[in-house]
Amino acid sequence: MDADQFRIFRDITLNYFGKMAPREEPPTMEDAFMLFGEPVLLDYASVVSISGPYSGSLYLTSNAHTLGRLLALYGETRRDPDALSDMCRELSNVLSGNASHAFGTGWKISVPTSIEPGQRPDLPMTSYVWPFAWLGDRSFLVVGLQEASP
Amino acid sequence: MNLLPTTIFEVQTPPDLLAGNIQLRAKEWLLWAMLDGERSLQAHSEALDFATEEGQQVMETLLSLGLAQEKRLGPQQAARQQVGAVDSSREDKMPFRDFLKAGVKPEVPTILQPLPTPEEKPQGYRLRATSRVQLPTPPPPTKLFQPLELPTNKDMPTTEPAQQPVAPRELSILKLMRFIMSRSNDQVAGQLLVYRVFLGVKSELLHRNGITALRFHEDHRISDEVLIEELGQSVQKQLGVRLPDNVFL
Repeated sequence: MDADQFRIFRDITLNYFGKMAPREEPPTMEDAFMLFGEPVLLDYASVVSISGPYSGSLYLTSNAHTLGRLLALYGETRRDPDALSDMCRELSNVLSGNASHAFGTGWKISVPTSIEPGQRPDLPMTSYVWPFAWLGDRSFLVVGLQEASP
Repeated sequence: MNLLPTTIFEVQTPPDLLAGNIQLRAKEWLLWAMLDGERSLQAHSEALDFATEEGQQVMETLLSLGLAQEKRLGPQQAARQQVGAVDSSREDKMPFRDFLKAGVKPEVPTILQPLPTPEEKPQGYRLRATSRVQLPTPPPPTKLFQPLELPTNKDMPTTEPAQQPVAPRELSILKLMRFIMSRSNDQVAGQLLVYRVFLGVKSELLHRNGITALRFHEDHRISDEVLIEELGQSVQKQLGVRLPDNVFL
């Protein structure tokens, strides 16, 4: 597990939010923590599965308000569930591109998926969580891995 | 009351006897103890060295207190009773004094039979010498007093000063995380290394020690040996070293 790859993945994901609102405060990283058991999950989650030395998921989970802010920055006036789901899928694509960029060698990146309210995803039990604040809301960038089967 | 010497009596066990409310003279207890529903009053009197009239008087007392009753016989038993077929001569005949003394004579041990089963004798308790068995005489002790051997089992009582109980060791999660992170050159790498160590520990084990989430500057004190063991194994696997002493409090 190469720490540089995870750092790059984290940084380019946060930069995405910074570039979306260049005149606003950039995202602020908060203290990372580990979570054992129930995975952290807000209203929506954009998920990328990876496999290599470990297997699991990288995901970004945000609430509906954060996705609404992103829709507004794209010039979209809708805030209905379909629009929020579209935004969540867009974030999944961003995440997948970032993962492909960061984990170029030794990892296999799956097709991105999105998790909408009410869905119970199959996410790893033990996760490493980077919380960050952006425009008054908090989102979580999560690394949830487990040792790959021999 | 005229009791026939050939009459056979059997015991009764009234509630007063069980409650301890009946008091008898020694001769009455002796005769009551001898009643077996097989031998005649005359046979018991002879065995106890009672005169015929004395045996009759004692038996009258037992009958009046409800401690004995005449046994009802069939025709064949009655005929044998009249000719003395069921008599003390049928089996081991001995005076009661000898019967009692036999218990302390090693050459003539007495065996007390266990209580008869309800099917074979519903009347209650019975005491009789069943046989004379010559048991081998045990060898005389070589010493009158032998000191007990010193206990070899640690659980046995001992006069040695009590050992201080071993306090369960406590592991500091914060010290452990700092130890792990010190082996990396930056924060993200250190935290990922901690994460890899904790990936090797069952979530249920952490939950049972009150850990559902863990910040990297947060401490928990762990005394659960199973969790400490699993953390140690995971550190060994990820870092190739054993848990250092300085992670323990």
